[in-house]
Amino acid sequence: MDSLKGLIFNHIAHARSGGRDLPVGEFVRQFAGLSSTAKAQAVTAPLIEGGTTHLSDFAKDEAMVKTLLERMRDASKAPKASALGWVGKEHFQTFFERTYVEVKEYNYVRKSGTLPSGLPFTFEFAVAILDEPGHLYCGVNFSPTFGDPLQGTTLAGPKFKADGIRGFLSQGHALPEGDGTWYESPASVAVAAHIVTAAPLFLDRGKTRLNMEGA
Amino acid sequence: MGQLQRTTFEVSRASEYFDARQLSALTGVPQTAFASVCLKELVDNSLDACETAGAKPEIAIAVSLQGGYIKLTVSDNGPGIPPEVVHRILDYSVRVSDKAAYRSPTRGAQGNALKTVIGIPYSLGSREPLIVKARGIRHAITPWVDPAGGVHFTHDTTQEITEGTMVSLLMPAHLHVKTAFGSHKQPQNLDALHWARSFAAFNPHATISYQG
Repeated sequence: MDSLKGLIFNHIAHARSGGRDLPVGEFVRQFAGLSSTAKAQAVTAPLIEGGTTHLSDFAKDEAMVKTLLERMRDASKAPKASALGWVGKEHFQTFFERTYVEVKEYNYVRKSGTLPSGLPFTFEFAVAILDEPGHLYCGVNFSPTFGDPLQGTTLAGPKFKADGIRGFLSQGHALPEGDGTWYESPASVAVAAHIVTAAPLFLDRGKTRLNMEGA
Repeated sequence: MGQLQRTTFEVSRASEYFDARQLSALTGVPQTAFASVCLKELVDNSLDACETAGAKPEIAIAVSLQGGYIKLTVSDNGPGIPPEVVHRILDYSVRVSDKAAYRSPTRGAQGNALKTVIGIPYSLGSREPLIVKARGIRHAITPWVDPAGGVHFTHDTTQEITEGTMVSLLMPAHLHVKTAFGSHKQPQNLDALHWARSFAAFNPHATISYQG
């Protein structure tokens, strides 16, 4: 609810500084699943009857944001993880083949789930067996990170649990500790780990370590 | 003895973006990673700008050593950053973002990326201007922080033929670290090739080229 409130009050501030004061119906139609006029009218009818016709009216009664959110949720389906997109098996394979001399073996896994907050996420994991030392590529929302985004998050596999992506790979003997920087792998593997989620919350100011329990 | 008449001064928080220690707290990385921060923020911005405009991103990263400086240039084929946005970015009392209020899988949404990129070279001792070329204008932006913490800019603009957006900066290649036991130089930890490869790995729709 705080996010919707933040968005509405950003619009209100924009209108106060000369921007358009959006009608509530027009605002609602911007959301996936609510773009039809009929649906937007059904969502907004009680608000408009009560005098909340434009976004600026929420400044008079902040509690109405909760009503709007509930009505929007009732009239639409929760977004699926697939709506967030992903990189995909083929691209990671092509990337490894272009970056390294020889890819002997390649595996890719993609899993989607829901955070405790209800927001969807997708996790991609691509591993290439090479004949040379490789690298670990970590990314969140299509952007590389400064380190392991799951450091501090316990990853549980069928055989062992580990702290973060590096810990998991290390337990699996795919990423032994080396003398180089965090992303260099003395083992002959290259790994790409990618997490896609809406509005990620980070545990650090460098926007690297994801809070997988919140958001 | 005369009584000290105190005056309450207002100190701008903008200077936080021009102080290495405070930038380190702001970005969450050590000063030796500041060149990497600039590269990441500029490429993130370029990708976002191209995608927003519906263009297939073509991003060029160039890194070179010039004297004791790292020259970092990032250019793209986006619509070009409008001059009014460049002006708004220089207002350090606000954040400029079209993504901060939306819940979507954004690369970064704090609205302070270019502010940080302007501040980092200054914080490390560079007094060279940050160059932005876009929409037919070459912006040369040179920050200056007065002793009271007030932030000022020399912002020179000239007409120039441009394509997309190009941002170029010079920053010292080494930090001068002083300790109780003496001083030493610490290099910027910038593996630009790894960053370029990483961006290529996570952006199938983009073409990332690297010259270094």
